[in-house]
Amino acid sequence: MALAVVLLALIVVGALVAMAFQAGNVEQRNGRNTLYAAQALEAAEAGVAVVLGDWEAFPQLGGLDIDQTAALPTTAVGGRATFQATVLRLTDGLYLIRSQGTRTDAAGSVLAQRLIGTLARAEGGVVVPLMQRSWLQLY
Amino acid sequence: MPLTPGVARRGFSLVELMVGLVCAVAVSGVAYRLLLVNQRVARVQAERAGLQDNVRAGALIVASELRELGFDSVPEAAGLGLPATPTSDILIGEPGRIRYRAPRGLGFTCAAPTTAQVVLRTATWLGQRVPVAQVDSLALFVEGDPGLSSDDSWVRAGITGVSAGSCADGAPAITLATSWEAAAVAAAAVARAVTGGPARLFEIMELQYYRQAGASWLGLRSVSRGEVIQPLIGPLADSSGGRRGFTLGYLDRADDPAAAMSAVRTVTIGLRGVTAEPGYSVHLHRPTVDTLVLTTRVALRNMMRP
Repeated sequence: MALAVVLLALIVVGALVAMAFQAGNVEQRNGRNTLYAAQALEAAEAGVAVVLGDWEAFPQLGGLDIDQTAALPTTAVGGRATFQATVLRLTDGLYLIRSQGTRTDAAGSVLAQRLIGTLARAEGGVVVPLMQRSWLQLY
Repeated sequence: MPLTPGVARRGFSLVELMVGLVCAVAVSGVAYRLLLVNQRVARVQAERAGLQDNVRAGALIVASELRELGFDSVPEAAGLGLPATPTSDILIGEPGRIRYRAPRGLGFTCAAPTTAQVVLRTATWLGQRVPVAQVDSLALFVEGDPGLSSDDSWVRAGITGVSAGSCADGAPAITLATSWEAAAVAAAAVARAVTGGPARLFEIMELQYYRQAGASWLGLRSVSRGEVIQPLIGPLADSSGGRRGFTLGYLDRADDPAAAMSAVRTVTIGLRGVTAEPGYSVHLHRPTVDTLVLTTRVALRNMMRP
């Protein structure tokens, strides 16, 4: 009888330990996902900054027709974060710059993605964000 | 009954039974104690994990809600006759409550705007949802002189109707019937707005720290829709002993408390979560409520420029 009780107790304790491990594992994954999301957002922000800062390095952007979009090559930022920016010409002087930041794992699987945008205007040969309400959270 | 000589005894003696029972009780007691401790540890861990999830999700949601806030300031050069006084998206900013214009979408005009309607191209609509009449408001980009950025502005209008329409080139469109506070401003704004320019949609939302059913919560509601507040994150710590479960701070560009909402550049978010149920710690003999504090800050992206 004592053996049966001990065996039962061991089974129950084992189940509780497994549950605790599972809870810890889920919690750790949640924490990592938060980190990946932040890295993806930062990569997306870097994409907008690169387009604005290096506008002259992409001559195809200035030659866009209205309502035409140009996609820039995917660029790695740091370890496993990348961004890809696209530029849509809205009017003669207005542009929408969209940047998708992606955090991948070693195998290239997507862990987190964030998409942001900036409304910008051509001014004196360069492109600058609008004075007000230029930043966009996109979905 | 007398024992029959020569017949082997079967079963246990009383002493053997008692020793066996004592051993079984002792082992059962140890097993029960082990079980109890493990159960408490498992429960505390589950509560703790829930608490961390709760607080982390709260910080992410609030930061995401507030990140895109900005302000309007119609410059004199825009020629719209509106005061240049900045109008912030933060309508009410208190430590436990913030009411704000939450961005809900962005579209681009595909026909010349009029004082009666603004037509947005469906193919390029970017938003969480479609526009809703009497709920959303509109901010129309008014460019004025295309060569000047100093006369750019965003001008507000109400949305009284939403319907399917078509662009000037025949493409599908979302037609927004608009209402303006001043007819003269409306006429000047649409005259200066350029076809293809952006229009942003907003819904007035409110985040509030409040108490309900014996616990404190962070709630969210749509003011534009007249909703009752609903819990978003919680339970949070009660506002007792100078400690609050949810605290917002409004900082200006020098990281000092902002004198006006239009001067806010950063919002600090403080969350103090509590476990939903009191739990036994391994070393404590009475159940206690665990707490977790998380503080973060979000730079309001559209308030960065003067």
